[in-house]
Order: sequence, then C-alpha cells, then structure tokens
Amino acid sequence: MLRVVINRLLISIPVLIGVLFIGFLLLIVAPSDPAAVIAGEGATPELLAVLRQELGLDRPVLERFALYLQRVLQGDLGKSVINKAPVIEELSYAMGPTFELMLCALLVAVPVGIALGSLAAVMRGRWIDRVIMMSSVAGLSMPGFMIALLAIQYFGLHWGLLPFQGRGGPLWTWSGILHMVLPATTLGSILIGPIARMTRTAMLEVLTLDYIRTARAKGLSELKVVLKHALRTALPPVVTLIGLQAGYLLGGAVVTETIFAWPGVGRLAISAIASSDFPMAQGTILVLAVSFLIINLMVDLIYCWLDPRIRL
Amino acid sequence: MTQAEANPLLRVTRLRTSIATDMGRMVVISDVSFEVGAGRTLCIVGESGCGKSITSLSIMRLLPKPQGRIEAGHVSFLGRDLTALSEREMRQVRGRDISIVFQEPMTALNPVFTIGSQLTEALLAHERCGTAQARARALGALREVGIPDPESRLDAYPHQLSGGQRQRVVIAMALLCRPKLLIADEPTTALDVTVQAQILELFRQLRNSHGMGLILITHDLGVVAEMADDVIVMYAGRVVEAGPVASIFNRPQHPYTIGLLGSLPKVSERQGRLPIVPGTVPNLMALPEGCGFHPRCPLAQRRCAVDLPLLNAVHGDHRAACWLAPLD
Amino acid sequence: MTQQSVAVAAPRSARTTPRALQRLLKDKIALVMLILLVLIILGAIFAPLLTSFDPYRTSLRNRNVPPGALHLFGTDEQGRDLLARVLFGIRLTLASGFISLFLGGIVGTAIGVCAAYYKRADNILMRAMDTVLSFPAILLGLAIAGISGPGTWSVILALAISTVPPIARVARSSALSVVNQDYLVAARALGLGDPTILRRYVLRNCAPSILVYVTLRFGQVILLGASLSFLGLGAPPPAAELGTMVSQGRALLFTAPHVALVPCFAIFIIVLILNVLGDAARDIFDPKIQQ
Repeated sequence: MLRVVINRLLISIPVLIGVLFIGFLLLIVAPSDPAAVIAGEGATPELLAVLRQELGLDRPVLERFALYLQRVLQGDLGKSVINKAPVIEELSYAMGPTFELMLCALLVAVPVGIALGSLAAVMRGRWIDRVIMMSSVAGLSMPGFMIALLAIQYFGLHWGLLPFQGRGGPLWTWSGILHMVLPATTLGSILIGPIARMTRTAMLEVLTLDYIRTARAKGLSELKVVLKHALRTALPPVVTLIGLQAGYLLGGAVVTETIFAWPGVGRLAISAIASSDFPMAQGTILVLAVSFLIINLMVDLIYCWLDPRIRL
Repeated sequence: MTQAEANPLLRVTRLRTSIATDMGRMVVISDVSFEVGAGRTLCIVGESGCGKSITSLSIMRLLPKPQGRIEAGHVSFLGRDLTALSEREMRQVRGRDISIVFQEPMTALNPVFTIGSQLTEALLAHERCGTAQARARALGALREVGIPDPESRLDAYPHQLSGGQRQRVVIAMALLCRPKLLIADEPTTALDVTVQAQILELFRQLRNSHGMGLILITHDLGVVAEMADDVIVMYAGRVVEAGPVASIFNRPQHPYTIGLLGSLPKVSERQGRLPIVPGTVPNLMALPEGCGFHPRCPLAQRRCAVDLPLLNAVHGDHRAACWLAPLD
Repeated sequence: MTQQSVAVAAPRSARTTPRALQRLLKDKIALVMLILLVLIILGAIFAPLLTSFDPYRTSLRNRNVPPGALHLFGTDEQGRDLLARVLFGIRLTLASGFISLFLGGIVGTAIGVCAAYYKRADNILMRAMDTVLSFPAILLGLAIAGISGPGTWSVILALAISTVPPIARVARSSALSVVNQDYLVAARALGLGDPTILRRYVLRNCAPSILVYVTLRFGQVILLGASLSFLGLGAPPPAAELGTMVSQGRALLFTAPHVALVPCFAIFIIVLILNVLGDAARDIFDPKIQQ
C-alpha cells in the first residue's frame, strides 16, 4: 500500500517539474514585457532596467526557473494581468466548484456505467447487450459539448426544466442541486460509455473463472454470484480505466464549465488564455495538473483497497 | 452393484452432453450411466479429456453457459430428476444435497473475500443461522480438514494460504452443509501424502457416519484401490468398463483398462499413477468410426473399426464395452 | 518447434492481410462504415465541386435560414451556407487529425522501436513516455495555445504530442516480440546493419498493431481537436472549423439551433464511423490490444 503511494509520488515528480516548467515558459514567452506592464506607459529605460533587475529578468533561464520554483512553493503564483488580483486567490475560489463538479459527474458515471456494463455482460448476446454496447459506442463518439448543447437545448430551453447557467450555491441547497444536474450529467455521460465497455469486458472474463463456478456450486443465487463475486473482482480494471480516463474527465470539465458558465478552474483557464492573462493561465494549468495527479493517486489507493493481494 | 438397491442415492442414465465450440457442437459425453448408493464410493478413472469432469458438471448442472447443454438422459437424485428441476430448485440442491470439490485449488477461491466469508456464505445460502453460529461452524469445518491455526485462517485471504491449504478450504466448504453426495474431482492432487491420507480418512468417516455417497474422480490408482466400492472407466466420452473395484482390478475386460492397469506392479501400491497407454486421446470432433479406442487398441479387429460396442455384462455387475469381452 | 516458429513468424504480417480483408468484408456493419468513410473523405476532398456556395461568403439577408431545399443544412448567423462550411470543416478536421496522428505516429514508433531494440535506452525512453502520458491532452492544448497562441497548428501539435506515448508503447511491445526471434539473430549474423534490420524485420512486424491503434485513436483525436477548437484554442473565427463553428453557433441555440447542431452531428458521425471501424480493425487484426 505504502509502496504504491510512494511509487505514484515518484512518477508524479517529473510530471510536476514538467508542468512547472510549462507554467514558467508561459510566463517568460509572454509577448508583453512584465517590467513594462508594471512600470506603466511612458516609463524611462532606466526605470525599466531597474525593474527588470528587481524581477530577475536579466538572469539566466535556469536561475529564473529556480526562482520561479521557489516562489511557487511559497504559494506565490503572481498577479492577474487583468484585474491585478493574486492568482492564488482567484484559484482558491474556483477550485471548490471544479472539484464538486467532477465529483458529482463521477457519482453519475460510475454507478450507471458499471450497472450498464454488468447488465450487458450477464445478458451477453441478447438484444439488451447489443443496445447497451451500441449506445456506448455512440456515447464514446459524441463530443462533450454536443451532449451539453443537446441537454441545454431540450432540458434547459425547450422544456425549461432545469437551469443551465452558473452555479446555484452550495450543494445542500435546492438551487445548488438543480444547477448541478445538467453539468454533472453532461460531464458524467462522457465516462459512462468507456466504463460500461470496460465493465462488460472485465465481467465476461471473470464470469468464466473457476471461483465463479465454485460460488455457483455453493448454491448461491445467480444475482449474488454476479453482484457479489463477479462484480467485486471485475472492479479493479474498471478503477484503472477511470484513472486512465481522468484526462478526459479534466478536459470534459473544462468544456462543461465553459458551456454552463460554471465558475471553476477550467473556465478560468480558457478566459485567461483568451485574454492573454499569462500568470492566471499558468496558475490554472498548475492546478489542473495537480488535480490530475491527485485523481490518479486516489485511483491507486482505491485499487489497492479493492485488491487484498496488494493491500498489505 | 453388489447389493441391489431399489432407490440409490444417485442414478445417472444415458447422459449425453454437448459443448458448443468454434467448429460446431461437440458431443463430449454420451450414453453415460452409473449409480452411487448412500455410503458408497464410485471412482471414475480415465485420461484427461475423457469426459470425467464434464460428467460431474452435468450432474451439478454447472456446465459453462451458454455453450454446454445436456442433450439427453436423466440424473435422478433420491428419485428426483435433476435435469428437470428449475434453476431455483437446483440451487437448493447445490451445496446442500450435492457438493462438488473442483480440481484447481489455486483458482477455486475468490481472491478478494476472506476464507471465513466464503465459507459462511455457503452455509447462509442454505440454512437459517446467525453469523456467530455460521462462523463457529466454519471454524469446525476448517479444523476437520486439518488446517493449522484455523481461527486466524478464517480472516485470511486465499493468497495468504498455500495450495494445499486452499484445497483443504475448498473441501471444508463442500462438506460444510453435510451433503448427501460429494463429487470430488482430483481432490488430493495438490496435497502431500499425510494430508491426503487425512482427507481420505475424513471422507471415509463421513461416508460411514452420515451415509454420504462419494464420487471420486482421480488419476491415482492407489486412491481407487483404497477408497472405491465401484469403478467406471471412461474413454472418449463413453463408459468403457464398469464394475466392483476388485473385479476391475483383478479381471479387467477392456483393453484400455488393461493398458491402464498393465504396468502397475501391484494394486496395493499407494502412489501408482495412471501409466501411459501408447497413442493420444482422440479428438472428440473427429471420433473414429466404431469403437473409439480401436486406433490405439493392440487387439483391434476389423469389426472394431465399424461397429460401436455397447456396455455388456461380463460377469455379475462387471460390464465392458468391447467386442472381445469376456477376455479370460 | 523453434524452427517451425521461425518459418511461420516471418511472413506472418504478409499472410494475414488478405484473410483480414476477407473478414472485414464479412463484417457488414464495418463494411458499411468503411464505404461511408470513403464517401465522406471524397466529399471533403472534392468539397469545392460539391457545393456552389462559398463557405466564407456572408450574406446578411440570408441569416440563420433553417435547413431547406436551397441551403441543405441551412445558413449560419452571417448567412454562410452550412453545408459548404461543414464540408470544408470536415476537410480541416480530417486533415489535422491525420497530420497529428502521422507526426505522433512517426515519433512514437521511432521511440518504441528504439526502446525495444536498444535495451539500454529502454528504461529512460519509456519513463519519459510515462511522464508525457501523465499530461492530459487538454492541458497540453491549453499550454501550447497559451505559449504560441491559439491556432490550427497549436491544436495539431497538442494532438501529436499526446499521441506519441501510446504509439510508443504499442510499437515497443510488438517490436519486443520480434527482436528476440531467431531470424533476427540470423539476420544479424548475416551482417545486416541495424537500419536494415529495423526497417525490414522490426518495423514490418509492428506495422499491423500500430495501424490498428492509429485507427482506434483517430476518433479520439478528432474529438479532442474539436473540443480544443470549441474552447477557442484552435483556428479562430471565421475559419470553417467544426469545433469553432459550434462555439460560434452556441449563442443562437434558442433561435437557430441548427447552426450549432449541424457541425456537432458532423463530428459525431465521423467519430462514430471511425470508432466502429477501429473496433472492427482491432477484432480482425489484433485481438490482444485492449481499450
């Protein structure tokens, strides 16, 4: 268990350094000269030179990267070019909604995907299996924004059932829940197809194993054999898949937040890039990358917990 | 059978089972008939692939779905035809009336549940008892099969046990509900000699005290000699010889049985394995005409390649499916 | 046994191809999809011949015309013909998907084959691939668009980079199955140089699984590219790029839903075709590759 965590953290280190370097690149290739921005218009060349020296802009790149790392580790991500607010502050407001959105999406996708996949596996070859597998391929082939737009078009605009603009407050309020429904289902539906397919494959494999026969030989009901013995052992590959799909979840979150005006990190990232707010873009990319690493760490932990052979 | 019983524990009549393969449906056993009385032991011997395991799976109706299918015949257990039961009724038979011990001890247990939960699960499926009581009985069952330190083993996972211990857990699981019939497919292959003797002794005890019937599928002729009342020899999905153990061992009638027993120095030899009969097991998809054994048979005659010999009485309860029988 | 496998293994890829084609022909759904894909590709190539409308010509009088006889798919908020724009959009989408897969495929194959062939480089190369794999493609897209500005090439670069590690893995595993074979030892004993051996034996053996993977990946690459351009990281408006068109049409969802939905369905149908074909290709050529 501990070994798995350490292993994951070790893999994460080069990734983190890579992300930090990208963040750093974003800041130094920025077409605008930070010194000029700070000094404002009509600054004398002398003042600019002093400012550059103060900001460390005249040092070698690697040294500047080291300085950058030092600042980031102290939690200083710079200030937004647009509204001059500290980036870390803006991010701290946006992180909660993003986390909440991804969690709710998983709460939709994982049970639905696993249920559909198991149903397809048990009903292998019958029409219901075919329908489930065909719809999951269709789901896999749909761009995330298409699902979102269709949902808005029908549930939002046409039938006026659900709100689709922004966050409605904390999740324990009625409005918070209502506003969450469409974004979470949209984001979750991206993952339902892959999860259902993987569950089906894993289940079909497990159902042929000897211990399933043992369970049947004990006289357990078919429901118990499938739900307890087969599903439980088919879960680890599904969990691994969710880890592999975490990138899609993240990408989907960016799209979903943009479409539903969800005040999260993804929307912040897009608007920062659109407005050339490089410090902000750098901050959002760092946060998204770290959350990706955290999702993978959690997936590893869940995997260990599910498989007693690694648990010890 | 030596003592003719009006209603034996299990009577299998003309059972035929097929399996769907990529190349079409393949009949894997046909015309298999035998009986097992209460408190008696039947041994099924034959090379691997001869249909021994399919026979036991057919009795339990645990053939792989949807490929496996019972085509014809009956399995009558205490007068009830198991092939006609609903899935729900069959479930109540499995594990309670008839238990089975599978061959593969390494894979027969689910890796993600503890030994205790897998044992009590079998009990709770058939009997109304509290968890504490179920646990106590599981503990007793583990003790019975001679697992050291059973208390701590209850909370262990299968991977923490050795192969032999796992096999004993599987046996304990099968015996937990005190079945009337136990089918054991190579139950002692993974065990060392002392444990093997212990398990066989346990089987014998249950046979005597509870009148448990036992079907033992084995390669080990020593075990056959020690345990069996009756023996059937299978070849290419058919019973080629059947009869009381002494008669089979002393006066084998089928050339295949003779081949199996031939090189065995003494019947009482404990560790006797099946000797190799020259040639290979035939492909069930392309069985030869006539007697399935004739291509390998040293005594084959022209007739053997044309007509299929049926099981005929040689003397008493001893029957053989060979045109040349009786050989003596 | 070993002699047999030498005789069988070398011409394997050459011999399986016709049989695979036969099986593809038997799989009716895959066949229909293949025909559709060819039609779509032809439509994209000959787009200027298929429609008399200019995808960039605006016409303020014909704004947001719903689909009808004149404008088969309707027009957008600036009166441009949507059929023409979708056809040109598919062109751009397929081309950028193809280019990024091609670039990523070449780099990935090179890395994978080298990792398998030069054992000393294996560990470091595959570790590097793991690191790149840990970058979600969307982050790559965001970062590249942030550094070099939004545009088609930013999207292509992001897609290509995200394709490299999985291709490298596939290439490495199928190359590994060849490098230890007897006939490679024999080839080396004959004095063939590394480049010849790699080209003639290793690459040829990797080709089927890489091609299958690329087919499987094509749909995902297009989806990802569409998402990136939808987010405004790709070609900026008025480019006839499917993702960009959807994001432009989004504001009109209530009044003229077809403006956003037509390019949506275009992406969906192309990706669906590619996914079904990819699955079929996997089943036919290489049942071992798992999703």
